[in-house]
Amino acid sequence: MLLDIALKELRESLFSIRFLVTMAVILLLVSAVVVALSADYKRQINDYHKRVETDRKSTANYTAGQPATIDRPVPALSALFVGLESTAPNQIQLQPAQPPSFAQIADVDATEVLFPSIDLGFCIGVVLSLAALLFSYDVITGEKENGSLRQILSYPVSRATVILGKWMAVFATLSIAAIVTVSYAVLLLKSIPGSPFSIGSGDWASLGLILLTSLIYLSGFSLLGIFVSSLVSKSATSLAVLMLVWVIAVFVFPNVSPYLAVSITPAPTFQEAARKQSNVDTELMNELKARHQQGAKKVLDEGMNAKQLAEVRDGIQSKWDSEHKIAMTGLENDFQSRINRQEQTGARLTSVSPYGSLVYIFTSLADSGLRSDENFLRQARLFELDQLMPFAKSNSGNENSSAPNFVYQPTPLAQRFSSVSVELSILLAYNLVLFFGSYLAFRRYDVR
Amino acid sequence: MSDLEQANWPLLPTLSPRATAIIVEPFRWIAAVADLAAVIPSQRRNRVSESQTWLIAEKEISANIQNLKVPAAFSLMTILILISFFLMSADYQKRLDNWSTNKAAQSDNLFSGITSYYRTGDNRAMSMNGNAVSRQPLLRRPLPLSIFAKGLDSVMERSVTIGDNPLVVPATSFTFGAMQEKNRNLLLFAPPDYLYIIKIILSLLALFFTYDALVGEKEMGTLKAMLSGAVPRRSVLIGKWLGASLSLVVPFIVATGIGFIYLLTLRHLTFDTPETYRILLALATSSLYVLVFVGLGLLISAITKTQKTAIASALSIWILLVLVIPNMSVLIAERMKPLPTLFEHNVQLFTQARQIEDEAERVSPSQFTWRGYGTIHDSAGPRIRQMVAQADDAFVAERLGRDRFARTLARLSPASSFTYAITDLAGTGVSEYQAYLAKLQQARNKQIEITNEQKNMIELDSTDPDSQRKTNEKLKALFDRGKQLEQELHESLLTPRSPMQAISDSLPDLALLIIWAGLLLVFATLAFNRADVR
Repeated sequence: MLLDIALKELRESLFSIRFLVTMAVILLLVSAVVVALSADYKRQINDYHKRVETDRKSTANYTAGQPATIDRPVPALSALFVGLESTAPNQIQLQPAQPPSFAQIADVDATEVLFPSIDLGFCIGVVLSLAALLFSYDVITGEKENGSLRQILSYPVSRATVILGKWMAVFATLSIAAIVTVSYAVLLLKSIPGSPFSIGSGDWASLGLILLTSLIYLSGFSLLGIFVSSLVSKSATSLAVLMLVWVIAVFVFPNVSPYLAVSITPAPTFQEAARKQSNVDTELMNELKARHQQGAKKVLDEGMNAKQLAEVRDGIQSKWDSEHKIAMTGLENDFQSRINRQEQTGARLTSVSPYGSLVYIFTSLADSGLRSDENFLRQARLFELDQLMPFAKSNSGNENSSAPNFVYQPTPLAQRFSSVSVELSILLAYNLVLFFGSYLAFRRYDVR
Repeated sequence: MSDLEQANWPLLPTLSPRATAIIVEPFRWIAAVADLAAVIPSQRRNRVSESQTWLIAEKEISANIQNLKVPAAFSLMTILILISFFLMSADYQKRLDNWSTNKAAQSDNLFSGITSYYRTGDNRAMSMNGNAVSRQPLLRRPLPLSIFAKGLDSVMERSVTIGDNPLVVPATSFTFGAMQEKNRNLLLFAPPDYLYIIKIILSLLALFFTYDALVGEKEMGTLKAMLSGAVPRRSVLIGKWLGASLSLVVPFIVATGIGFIYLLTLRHLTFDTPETYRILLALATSSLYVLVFVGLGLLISAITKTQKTAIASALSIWILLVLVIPNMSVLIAERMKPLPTLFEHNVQLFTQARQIEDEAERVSPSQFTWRGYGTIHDSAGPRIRQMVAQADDAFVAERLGRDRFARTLARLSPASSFTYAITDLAGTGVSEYQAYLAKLQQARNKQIEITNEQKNMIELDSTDPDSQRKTNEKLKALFDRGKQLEQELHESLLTPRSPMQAISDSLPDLALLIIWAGLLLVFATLAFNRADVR
């Protein structure tokens, strides 16, 4: 009986105008988005290859106290899930006496700031979630309004079966829509002539989990539709309530919560932190001067030769360099950890809304979000400590020796998966709560 | 006001008749006054038809109030505007603190500004051109109106240095520093400012108020009854339009007023008279934006046959206009006009500069080298500076050209016009950004002049040792000129343009919005005239 209901509903919805129009709209949108994003992606990859060449030269400069730059390759899936890839810098500067820091982004297109670019995540998170509501807002109220609900329930079929069957049908419809959308996007991206898009097995696994997440997300919205539909008596009311919830969940909550997090967990501003660093920097500079004077005095007193003098001078300098770096890194880490706490709070608050959760899951899995930046910074620190610093120590003054190259390790799959577990649980929890909510509401539903 | 419409909202509590009367009465009064105003000037006009329009409008308003659409929309708007004002004013305060910390540091002789994001390593003593001037990165003061539309404020707030090009060392460029905002979470989603709330929520509400205005009545059969009387279709449509517009715009203005009462309680925030005018104009623009979507909703309602089709098409068109067209325009422009990245541009400049230096090296070898750049020749300096300045300007011009193209594409949607109009009014828009870049280019050109003069003097210095003192004096004078230039820069560069300019920037988009609103009303009227009401 359950399957009968589900199949009948599925047949109806698959051939309905609603479904066909939705599919046409979403495929058109995905085509436009993918074609446009692929150009951006190609440009980023070309830029990266050129950057790497300069990076190689710059690592050799590190020995002379100049900044070395290291770059992160463009994550393959960022062609579909942009995340922070186009707005935040993905180059890190390493300097002998400074903590590693993200470089600036220099070229900004004004329109791009006013209208952030849309990606596949938008197509799923905004457009398909709206479709999920449009497919489900009248599943109960619509049947009540045309009288067929009474008829169904006059047969020996439990209400649980009816609502489960309805959900299965809506969910199957949405699954087809989501699977078609994602696979179409990937195929299109691969088939664009001259597209540098190539994804490894890890990315396939990520893509699989992205698809699964999309299904859970869309199922949540369809359950929301069914829930509201079985609470109210008219389709129009159901739609009004759902639109309100949708707007708040998709457009208000994710945008408000990062700013709210800033209010909840205050951190010093960039200039305040920099001023603090500048103060310490000046103190240490004075200290260095004093030490050099002391050293000079010692050299004069003991009547050293040029080689000994250089040794004393370099000894003072390198000791100071490491002390300076430790002090500066401490201050920078302090500031960064305050900012990280803000970001974490923002992320937690945002992921209360399903769309916020979805965005974090997508960008984490595509390795284009906040977490991949953290991973990059960690690798940069390790690279400087384990390779660049020993190299600089052993090769000072020798310009022709080959400097170590930075090789970025993409965030391991297991780490990507485990980092999204909280958000994924939130989405599952929504599903569970809404399912029981719909069941209870429908049990009490007045079908007359 | 029918029972049917009340039945639409069984979940929500219904207002008592007395409370409803209190809310409806002012509207009734407005309608009566407007009615009089419409009728008195020409007695020859068809009095019945005119007052029918107002009657329909009035009925629409009281229906919207009684079925709780207006109270619900009003509370939603008030809550969202209050949240937005609370968060964005805190954000503004934070950015202002950031700016004043920097200002204090810049006037401090000991630290002379914070340059940690623009360190050149130990080699700073090497740079001999005019970098005593404008070494300090400039920071632009955040604008109070950015509370309403943050726009490009965070982009213009980046520190900017007018000095050595980081890659082509002898050349002078303006270099932007990092974003002052370090919380990357804020980059992931658009800021929830007033502009955003109106753009998303108010447009959706407008469609929601109107999508069933005609098609709903048709489905209920009341439209047939209404049109069987002496009411022309035009009156019905205009009445509905007026009713929906008033029942959205009035609560919206009240909600904004409540938000302003909150803002006025904040001590750090004051608006001067021109700013107040700009805010009022922004309010008018927002109301116009609502009218555009009211017209669109009525057009959809007049064309479609069932409410379900109406809502589905309204939502699709909404997504297209508010989210897809503006955001896709950037991507499409990038695809159609591919341009080199700044990095590629700088690499190209480096090769060209190297060629010039190598030529000079063949003529007379230089003893100055810069690690990562190579030999530096003072004789080649002016040429390199000119070349880089021209190339930089061309680069910026190309970018701005593409940006203009993207904007033209985006203007297919009224939501983009609205965004441009409001950000221009707030002084955080594209026009302000372009003017800012132009000022930076001028400042850089002045800086190049000074650097060239300084170089000449240093050369003089080496040939004529007797005039050491004189040269030093000249250098000092030049240094003072540089200081003065810096002062001027701080004043001109970092202050936004005049309010009148901000207003005139927004006029084209304002005109577009008026055209949109008018056209959609006309189309809705035409469509409704041909509509089958059976």
